[in-house]
Amino acid sequence: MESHNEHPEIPLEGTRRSFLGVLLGLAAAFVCALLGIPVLRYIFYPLTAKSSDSGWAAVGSVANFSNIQAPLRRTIELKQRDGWQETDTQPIIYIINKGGKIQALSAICPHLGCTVPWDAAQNKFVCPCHGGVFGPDGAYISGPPPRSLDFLQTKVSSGKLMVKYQYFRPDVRNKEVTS
Amino acid sequence: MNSEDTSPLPDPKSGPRRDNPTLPARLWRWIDQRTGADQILHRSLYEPIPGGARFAYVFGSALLFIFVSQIITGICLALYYVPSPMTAHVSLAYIVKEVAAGSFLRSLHSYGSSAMIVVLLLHFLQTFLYGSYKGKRELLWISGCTLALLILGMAFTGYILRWDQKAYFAGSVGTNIAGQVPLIGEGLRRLLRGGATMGALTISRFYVLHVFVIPALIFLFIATHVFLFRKAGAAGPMHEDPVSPRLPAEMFYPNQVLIDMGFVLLVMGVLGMLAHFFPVMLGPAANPTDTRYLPRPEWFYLPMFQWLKYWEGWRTVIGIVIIPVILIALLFLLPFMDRGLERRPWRRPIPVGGVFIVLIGLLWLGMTSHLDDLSDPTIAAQLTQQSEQEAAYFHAPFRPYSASPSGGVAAVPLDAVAAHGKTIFDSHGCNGCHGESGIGAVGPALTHISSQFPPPQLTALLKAPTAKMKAGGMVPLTLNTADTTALVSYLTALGGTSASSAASAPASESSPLPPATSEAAAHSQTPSAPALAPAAASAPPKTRPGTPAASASAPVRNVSAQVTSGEKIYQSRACFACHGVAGIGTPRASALTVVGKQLSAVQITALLHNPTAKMKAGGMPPVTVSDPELASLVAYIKSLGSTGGTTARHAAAQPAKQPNAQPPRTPATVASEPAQPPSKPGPASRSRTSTSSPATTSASTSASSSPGSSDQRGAAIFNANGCAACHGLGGIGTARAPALTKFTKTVTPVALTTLLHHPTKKMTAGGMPPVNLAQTDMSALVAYLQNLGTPASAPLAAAAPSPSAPSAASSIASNPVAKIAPQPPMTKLESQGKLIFQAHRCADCHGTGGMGGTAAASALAGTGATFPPALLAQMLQHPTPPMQKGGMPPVSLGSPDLKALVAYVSYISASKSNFQ
Repeated sequence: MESHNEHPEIPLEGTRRSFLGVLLGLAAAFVCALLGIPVLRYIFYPLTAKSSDSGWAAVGSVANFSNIQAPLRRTIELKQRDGWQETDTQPIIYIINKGGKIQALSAICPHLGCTVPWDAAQNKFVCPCHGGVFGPDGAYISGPPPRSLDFLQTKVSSGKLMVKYQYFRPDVRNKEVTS
Repeated sequence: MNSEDTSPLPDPKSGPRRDNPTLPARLWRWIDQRTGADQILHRSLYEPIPGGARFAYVFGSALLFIFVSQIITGICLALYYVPSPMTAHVSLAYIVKEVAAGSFLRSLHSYGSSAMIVVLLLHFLQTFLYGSYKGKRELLWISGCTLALLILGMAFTGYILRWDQKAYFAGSVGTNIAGQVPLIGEGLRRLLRGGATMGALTISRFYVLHVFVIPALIFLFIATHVFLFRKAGAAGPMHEDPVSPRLPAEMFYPNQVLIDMGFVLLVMGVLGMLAHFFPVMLGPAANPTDTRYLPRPEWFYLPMFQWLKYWEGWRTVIGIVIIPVILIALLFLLPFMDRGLERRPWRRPIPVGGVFIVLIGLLWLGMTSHLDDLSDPTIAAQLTQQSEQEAAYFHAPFRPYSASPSGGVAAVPLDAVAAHGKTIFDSHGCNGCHGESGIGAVGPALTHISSQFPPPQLTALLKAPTAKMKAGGMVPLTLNTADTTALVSYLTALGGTSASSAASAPASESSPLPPATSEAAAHSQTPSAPALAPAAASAPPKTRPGTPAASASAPVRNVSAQVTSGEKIYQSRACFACHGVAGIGTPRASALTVVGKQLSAVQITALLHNPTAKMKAGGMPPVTVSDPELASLVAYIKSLGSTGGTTARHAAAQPAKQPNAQPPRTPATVASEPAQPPSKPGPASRSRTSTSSPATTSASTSASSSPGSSDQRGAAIFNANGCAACHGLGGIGTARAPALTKFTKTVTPVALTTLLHHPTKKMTAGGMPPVNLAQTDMSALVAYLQNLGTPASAPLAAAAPSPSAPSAASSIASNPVAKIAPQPPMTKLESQGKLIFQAHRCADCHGTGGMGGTAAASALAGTGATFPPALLAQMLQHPTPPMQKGGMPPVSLGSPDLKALVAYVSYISASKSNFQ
């Protein structure tokens, strides 16, 4: 049955053809929008989803930290949303006493995200990955990291030190909260 | 036919033109020279259609288009969906509840599958009626039939993947059907399921089938179908010669393309509207242990579902394998059987008639199934409840999957001092009023207390409560300094917890708490302290003297739907048998009114799942219900502890619903207490019971006070100790425990006594507690048990009108609302019916005198009121499917006997309704 003409006769004059073309185009646009807009919203949902605010976690009584000399390592319990599941993470923070003010540092290296240990012998934070070095107050000393260790927000609530744990964008000069 | 996906980019005519081509034209020519796209486009668009474009030809294109839409939405779903029993449902819930446009796309996919089947049917009808399979189009037809089966396969496999209650049971039934295939059935079922039961491997298999295997086959067969269609050419209208068409042909483009496009627009518009305005529901996660769930398939499998009901025993294989296979084979072989070139349907009566008989049959089956469900009030109610549960789950906020389902109430680790404080808080009953971890219950929440009062002031308040606190039931604390410091430290830590939860507002929504807990948390969040105090103050201060923490009564709170459904579970699982009406407690088991106050929802949930050794020893079985049901039950238990109103409502309403299930109270107890008017029960009814509860066993009181024979005394003990709750009234057995009518006769009295004293492990596991009775009571019970099932014992349960039967009398008397209505005497016909009822062992399932009822067969209460005699007779002769499912056989009786039986059933149900 298939009889393919080289140039089949088009029985329509220009205006009707273009009208039909517009009609088809509109129809196609409608269907594309009907499917396309939700699909794009759906796929790009992680960009628009509000980051789960992990909230404040208690680290312990302020009194315990009032006279610390060197950075004190603490693990905090953090419930985090990971898509459809909830995970328990235990990020590491350091409590430091900066001129009588108790502050908390994220142990995540601002270079590429390794966990930075406190080296008591050297009295420095030394990143095990690419050798970033930070002072006892978290200030940048040397190595590839673009900035100092990140301070976390703290507050004291009825004698307890509370820390708001956040993640920061790595390898940029300025501290930017990612989640 | 597929113009949509190869829509002309620029004007296809511009290819051959040479004069000063525009940029798009030059681009098109560039592509064409390398791909031959121009020719492909022409081939697809300029397909001659004999007789011209028609609306009747739209369905093929529409199917193709919906399929493309299914692919797009399906890929989207796969982006977040994770196929495993733990994650399938929660990830789908995430899509539906959280992801932007997730519900819309999922609904579009779900409605799309239905649309595929509808349009498939229309495509089939059109090609069949037009005889479009004639004239060397056999392979075209067969490829189409294969596609139809593949699409049905897609609908089935996709349905399972949502892994909610519906899906689980649909999968279970579907794979069992495969198991009916002779010889290879069992293997096939295991192969489909990936094992003996539905589980992790089942989801993987269905996922792979739905996402990889069947779609690949569909692609293959669509290509084949379209190729064969183009090879054979469009058949044209039904009066056209299918081999060498005579009618003038019109090209596929533009008219047919436009008509197709219009129809596609219509379909997509309708689907989009449906998906937007009526999103497809998602039910709670699959729970195979929920025996009350009534699985119903999607509408397109409803005829098959109904069809299965008509086949049993060895014939099943005929009904569900052989007949469908024959029908499918006939469908495939249609072009070989209907070979003539005559296409007009009225000239082909046999195939057309056959197809219409099958279609009408399918329609009839589907309608019957639907009407059956509507006509049975219990089923209709259960289905309504199911769809309500579905909607409730669908609209509930998303709760993420948590690998470590910890309670999460106090997530903050406590230091040693505060931990000691927590011990004091719990052991001194502070949690009784202030809730677990101080989240608040009848007493105010303490989670903000540290922000209101610094530690010294808090210490002072604990030692010397204010008048207002005292009025609410707060007692001054007499603790040593260390303990006080610890307690204050703990209370301060609670403040810390509260601050953290307040800081993260959506925490309560995203925390993996069961609903009951979040509800409790919600109570704590309401600044309820001032509101609660006066209410607590006005309540009778010492309802239960032993526990000062629980002494304050509760404010009346609105009874939520969850509490109501929890109440239903409490009733249906016969919890009241041991824990008393509305959890007021009995000598056998503790009052839940206290438990509800003292324990958190999380703790109660854990205890229900895994009762402690002590609870098990007392006869408490692990509660196996679905999570939402458990949550409702917990909510109900919690409400018992705090809501005087609920208790009152229960005391009044519960006996009316289940007169025979009322925890039996002895005539002695009843006699000493005038019946309460239902208007003012509340705390009064509670205290009434608590005064009676210290008595060692009410049974012994009853036994000594009732003047009857040892058998009646045994019956009284049997009922008073809650044996009837599990073993059924008159020991006829229930779903929870075996019948005692036969077994007890096979052992000696001594052996039976020993068994009652020391139940076997199996019995204990089923919830049987050791029976500790005085020797005389024990022998009376044993004697009663051994006489069960003999005519002598039958009147015990059956003879409600007989005043000499203490069990029935007591259950009525203890019911504050029921009034003993004088029973009309039985007519001759009715007594004749009673004999038939007994002779045919109807009582085995429906209870003696139709009063009992088991899990499978309901008591016949109200039957006469609901069903007129004619309908009753019909139902007896032709039990409805749910009745059959419960084990009800068709009653084959002669007309007079049937009439008598119907009269008797009407009689007992009418007399029963006097209690309501």
